[in-house]
Amino acid sequence: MGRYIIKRLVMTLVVVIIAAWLIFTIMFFVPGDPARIMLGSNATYEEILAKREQLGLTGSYISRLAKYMYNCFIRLDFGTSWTYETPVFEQLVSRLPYTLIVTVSQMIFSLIIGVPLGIYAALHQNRWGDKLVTVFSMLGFSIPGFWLSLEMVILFSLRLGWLPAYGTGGIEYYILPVIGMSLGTLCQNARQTRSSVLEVMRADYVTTARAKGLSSNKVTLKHIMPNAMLPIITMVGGSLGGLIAGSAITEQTFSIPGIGLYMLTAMNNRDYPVVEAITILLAAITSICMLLTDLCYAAIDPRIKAQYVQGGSKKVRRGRKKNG
Amino acid sequence: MKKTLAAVLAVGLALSSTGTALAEESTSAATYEGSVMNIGVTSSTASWNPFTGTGSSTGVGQASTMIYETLMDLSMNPVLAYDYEKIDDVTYDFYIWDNIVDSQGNAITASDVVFSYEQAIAGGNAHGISIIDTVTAVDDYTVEFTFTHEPYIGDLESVAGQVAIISQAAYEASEDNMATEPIGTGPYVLTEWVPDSITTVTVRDDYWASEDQIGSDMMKSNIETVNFVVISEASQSTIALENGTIDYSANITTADLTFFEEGGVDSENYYVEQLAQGLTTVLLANMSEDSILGDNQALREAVFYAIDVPSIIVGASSGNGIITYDASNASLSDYNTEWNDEDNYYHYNVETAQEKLAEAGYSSGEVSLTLFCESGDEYTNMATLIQAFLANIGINVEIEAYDSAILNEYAADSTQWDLILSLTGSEDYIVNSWAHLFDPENYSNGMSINFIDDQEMFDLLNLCKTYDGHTEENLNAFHEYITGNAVAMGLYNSYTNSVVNRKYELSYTQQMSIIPQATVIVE
Repeated sequence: MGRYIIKRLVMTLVVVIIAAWLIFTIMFFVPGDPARIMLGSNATYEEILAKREQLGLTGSYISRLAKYMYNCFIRLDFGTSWTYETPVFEQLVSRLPYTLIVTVSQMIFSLIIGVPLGIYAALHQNRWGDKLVTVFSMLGFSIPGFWLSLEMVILFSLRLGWLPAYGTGGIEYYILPVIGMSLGTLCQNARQTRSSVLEVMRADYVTTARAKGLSSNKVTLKHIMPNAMLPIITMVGGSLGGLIAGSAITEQTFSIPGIGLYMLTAMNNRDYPVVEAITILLAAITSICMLLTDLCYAAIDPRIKAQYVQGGSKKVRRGRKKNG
Repeated sequence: MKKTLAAVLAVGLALSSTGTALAEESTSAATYEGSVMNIGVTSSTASWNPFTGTGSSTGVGQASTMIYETLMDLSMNPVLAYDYEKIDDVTYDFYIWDNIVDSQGNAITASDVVFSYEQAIAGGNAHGISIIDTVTAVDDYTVEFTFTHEPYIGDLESVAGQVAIISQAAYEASEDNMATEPIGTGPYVLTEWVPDSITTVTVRDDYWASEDQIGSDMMKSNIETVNFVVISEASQSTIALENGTIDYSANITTADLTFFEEGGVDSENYYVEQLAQGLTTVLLANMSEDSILGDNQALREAVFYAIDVPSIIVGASSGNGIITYDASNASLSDYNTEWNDEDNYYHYNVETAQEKLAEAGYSSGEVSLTLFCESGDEYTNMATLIQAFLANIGINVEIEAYDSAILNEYAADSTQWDLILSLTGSEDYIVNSWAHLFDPENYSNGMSINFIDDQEMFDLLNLCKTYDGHTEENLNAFHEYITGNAVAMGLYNSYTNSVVNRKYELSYTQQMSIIPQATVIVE
C-alpha cells in the first residue's frame, strides 16, 4: 500500500508540472499586455516597453519557461505579485485559510445535511418524505447560489439584523456564505445518495440480510451504506478542488479576502506570477484530493485495497496446463 | 512673481521659527474627536509602494493620498511645497516647507524630493512626469526641475501632484519598498490593512503642518478614523448602506438608487450625489487604408449622423450621462459650450445619414463594418444600439467585445476593426483627452489611435498643448479638424452616482475623487 501511495504522489508531481507548463504557455500566448494594464491607458509606448523589460516579459518562450520552471520546482519560488508587490507565496499563505474555512465548511455542511436526506428519501421511497426531498433537491439545485445568498443577506442581515452581510471575523460571518452557496451541492449530494442507496437496496446480499432477521438500522448501516458510499466519495473527493476554484463568487459576494478573489484580480490584471501559482496550487490540491478519495475507497472496499496492493502493473500470472 | 516669492519666503521664515510650536498645537484641533467614517470601495490598495502603480502611474490611490503627500495637489494648491517659480522656459524651482516630518519622525529635505522623483522615474511608472529631464536639490529646501521641453498645459500639475514624497532613509530601510508598511508625511497613518477586505487609516497626532500651512484639502484631517471597506458586489453595497455599516458608496446600481433619492425609503438618512466622470466614450473611425472608412469621409459621416446619442445614454447608461459634442469631456473648463449648438456637428438625422451613404457610393445593405468594444454591460449595450441605428440606414455591423487588455492589443491592428468605442480620460483639460487619442507618441506605429498620420494635425495638437497656444482659436481649430473630417465622434461622459450619509458633507478633487479627510460633519 505504501508503494501505491508513493507512486500516486509521484504522479501528482507530474500532473502539477504539466499544469504549470500548460498555464505558463497559455499566459504567454494570451493577448493582453500586463505592462499596459499596470501603467494605465495613458502610458506611452516607450514607457510600456520599459515596464515590460522590468517585468521580464521580453525573453523567448523557451528561456522564460526554463526560468519559470526552475524557480517554481527547484527554488520553490513563485515570484512576486506584480499587483501586490509581495511574494506570491506569502499572499497564498495568508489568504488560503479564508478560502479553506469557507469551502471546507461548505463541503461538510452539504455532506451532513445532504447525505442523511438522501438516505431518508431512499428508505422512504415513493412516500411523502421521498417526494418532499426530491422536490427540495430539484429546487435547491436549480436556484443559483448567488441569488439565494443575496436573498438570505436581505432577510437575515438587513431585515432581522441577526447576521453580518459581508466581511470576516467570528463564526457568524461565515454562516450566510456557507449556507447560501452550498445549497446546490447539498441537493446534489442528496440526490446522488438517494440514487446510490436505492441501487444497493436491491442487491441480493441486502435481501439476504433482511431475510436473516437483521434490524432495519443494521441492514442500513452495515450493508447498504458501505456499498452506497463509493459514488458519494467520488463526488465529494473531486468537489474540494472545484469549490476552491469557484470560491471567487462567494468571496466577491461576501468580501472575503481569499484565494478566489486573489485569482480574479490577478487574471484581470494579467498578474502572471499569481495566476501561475494558484493554478499549480489547485492542481496539487485536486491531485491530493483524488489520492485521498482512492485511499477512502481502499478503506471501505477490501477488493479495491487488494488491487492497490497488487499494484496493477504486475503481469497477471496465467495458470499453466498440467500435462497428462 | 519674485515679490510674491519674497513675501512668501518671509512668511515662511517667520513660521518656521515658530513652526515647531505650531505643529505641536495639534492640527487635530480640526478633527472631529472620535469620528469614524466608513467608505465602501470595490477594491483595496494592492500595494503601498509610493512609486509603482495599481492602475495609476505613481501608485497613489485614494487611501494613499491620506498617507503620502505630493509637492502640490493636482490643482496646484500648496502641500509640501508652498510655492514654485519659473526660472526659464524649461526650469522650475519648488520651495518646500522646512518642518516636514514623516510618521516615523524623519525630516524631509530637498534630497528626499529628488530621491522620490528618481524612484518614480526608475519605477517605470513615469507617465505624467516623463517631461522631467533632471531634478536636483539646490539647497535643503529648494528643488529644481528641468524639463525636456516647455511644459504643456497640465504638465506642471502632473509633475507636482502625482509623485509621493517620502524619506529616502525610510524607503531604503523598508524590506519591501513600503509595499506593506507605508511611511508618509500625510496627516494619516495606516492602522489596519487586509487586502481585499478593509483598510483603516487614523489621524496622526504628530502631523507636521500647522493650520497656516494647510493649503490644500488633501492636508486636512477632519475625520479621525476612516475605514475603506471592500464591497465588490453592488447589491451588497446597497445593503451595507441600509444597514448603516457604511456611510458612502459609489457602487450602487441605478435601480437601487431609488431607495436613496428624494422620496425613497432611505432618503431620510442618505442623499445621492451625481458627479461627471473623467472618462468620455468616443466612437472612432479607422482611418487607415485597411478599412472601408479610411478614405471615404461621406461614409464616416453617414455613420455618425445615424447615431442618436441621447438614446444611447438612456439605453446603455440608464440616463446617467452628459452628451459631448467633441472627443473630450464636456464638463472641463476649456470645453467650448458653443460646440453644442454647431450646425455642422453630427446631430442625429436619419435622412442626412442616408444621403451621405448614397454620396459615399453605397446603397442599403452593401456596407458591413466591424465594431470593437470593451466587454461589460454598458459598452456592449452601447454597441448594440449603434448596430441598430446603423442597420436603420442599411449598414450592417458586427460587434466584437473583448476585455480591456485584449482590446488594447487588437486595437493596434488596423486590419481588425472599422469602428471602435474608446474611452479617453482627462480630468483637467480637453487637450489631454485629445492627446490620449491622437498623440502619436502614445502609439508604437507613430500614428494616432485610429491610424491618422497627419503632421499638420499633430502640430496643431502640440500647439494646443502649450500654455501660449492653448487659446480658444486653436482649440476650435482642432475641434473642427476632428469633426470636419469625421475622424471621431464624442458620445458622452457617464455620471457616477454616489450615496452619502446625510451627516456628511463631502469634498472632491477636481478629478471628482472623494477627499475623506476634508469631510465636514453637518449634524
